[in-house]
Amino acid sequence: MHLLEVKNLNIEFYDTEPATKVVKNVSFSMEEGEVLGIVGESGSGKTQTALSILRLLKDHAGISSGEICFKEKNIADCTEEEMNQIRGREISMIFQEPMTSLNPVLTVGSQIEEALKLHTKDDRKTRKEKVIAMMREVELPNPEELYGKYPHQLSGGMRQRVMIAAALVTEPKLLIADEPTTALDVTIQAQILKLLKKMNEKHRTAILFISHDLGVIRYLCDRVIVMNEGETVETGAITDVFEHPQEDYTKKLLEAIPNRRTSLRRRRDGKKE
Amino acid sequence: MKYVIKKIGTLIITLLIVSFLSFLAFSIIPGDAARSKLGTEATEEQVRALQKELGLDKPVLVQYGIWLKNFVTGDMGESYSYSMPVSEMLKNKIPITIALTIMAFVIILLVSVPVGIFTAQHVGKKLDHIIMILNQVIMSVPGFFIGILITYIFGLILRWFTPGAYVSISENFWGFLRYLIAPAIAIALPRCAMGVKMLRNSVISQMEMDYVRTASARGNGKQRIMYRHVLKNAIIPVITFWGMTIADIVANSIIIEQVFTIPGMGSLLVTSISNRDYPVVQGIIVLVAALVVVINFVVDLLYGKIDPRISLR
Repeated sequence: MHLLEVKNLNIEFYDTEPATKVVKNVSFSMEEGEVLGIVGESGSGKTQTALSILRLLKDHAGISSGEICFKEKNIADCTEEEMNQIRGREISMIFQEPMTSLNPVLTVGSQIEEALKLHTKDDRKTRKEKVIAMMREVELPNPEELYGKYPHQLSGGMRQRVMIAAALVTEPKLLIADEPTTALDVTIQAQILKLLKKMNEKHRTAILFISHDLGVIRYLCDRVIVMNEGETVETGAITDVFEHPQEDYTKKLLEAIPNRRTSLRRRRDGKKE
Repeated sequence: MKYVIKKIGTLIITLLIVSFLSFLAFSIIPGDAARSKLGTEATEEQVRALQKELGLDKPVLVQYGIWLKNFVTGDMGESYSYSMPVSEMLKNKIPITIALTIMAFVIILLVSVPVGIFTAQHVGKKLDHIIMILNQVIMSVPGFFIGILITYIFGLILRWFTPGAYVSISENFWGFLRYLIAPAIAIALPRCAMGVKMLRNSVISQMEMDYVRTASARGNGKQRIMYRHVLKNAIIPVITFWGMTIADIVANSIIIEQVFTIPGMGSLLVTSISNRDYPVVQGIIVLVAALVVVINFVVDLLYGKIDPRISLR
């Protein structure tokens, strides 16, 4: 049984005439505990694919054909209430902008706690204990003190940790991470990736990781899908795709990594790294 | 604490400037208290004698100084036309203005918040279109005209109240409030429409924010997103509008009181200006200015309560 199966997914934007196809015939599946990367340039349809899994596409966008099954249940058949049972409990999502993705007028603690409030019957005390424990797990300093703080009092990296804590506090089966490190500077980025890896290994949470950054994908993912202009270009195990890319587009994408190119040149020039 | 002291400082400076400006205005415009009190029959000597008695022959700055000195000691002077202490006259009028303002404001809140939320939730639907057209019409009609319409429809045709039969507060408290409902509605309606539009736009723009998507991804239903996440953010810019509205209501009650023949502060202000009754005018202006400053202060406090990003300094 696949945890998630996407079959021939097509997504269109209806606000243009004729409608624009942004995702074309994309198919993939994920197993429990697996980390799958989707890599592509901006506009390649990777974010729309991710949003469609939780049925969070904006009003002007829609799935024109195809199927998304979570635990063998087609999410198109779910009512909005059933969807709200899946969102935040079975599948959680974190976003690119930790700055704006948190509600500015609610405390950090209450935002992490919300999923527990919505999806469990835990009493207030248990909820708070779970929240503090989760804050500790994502390595937020002084959880008790931080609990009552507001997002603007935190740094970007801490906010993303809060987002991760809020997403994982219900121990979902799948975490969709839409460019969660893009807005952060490099050192913080590395810490967040390490944290995601730790959470994946510890809780067996599957992660669908979306990024334009091949280096990040390579560090974190087991398998990767390369997307371009709404289509799947190449898919495979991470080492296969990186060491033996089959498609020209993938090769070009790999060429574009600055570090890799310089290291290749160095190797060619016979210098040691 | 430091913040409160600073605000009190602002209050005092504002009152000084406002009262001085209104004093100055009276020295510029033609007309004179002694002449308007004595009538056209009075001789020059009589006028001059009364001017001397009232202290009007002194330079404006000296007059202002005297007024200020008395005001600080709690003496607001005596009305020229009624020979009554100003404080005594205002004491009877303040409850009317306050009752009218509060009623109008409560109506504005009760109407604009639910309608604003409703229209924002139904953007583009037929009912939203109808409400917004109606809204636009109400917004562009001045309050006194709505007052006349209300008097005509509810007073003369439906006979829900008797126009002109004002009930004083000491006579019958509930009758007094009942009579004020119609004028309060007249003042409130155009501002309800503005409030609806402000809140609707604010909610719509908040719905586009990233945190709303986060809340949806967490499994929040539509209603919970609105009341738990969006509303508190959307209300922040609207609070400023509400604050300005209260000051606006006080100013508007002057006209509405004429339409509904309410003997409130507004009608007193109008007659006092035409009689050149400086002490009364000064008293009312200082009172209204103080009210506006205090409301702004309350709005600032509310801001700090609702928006954690604002710290009061």
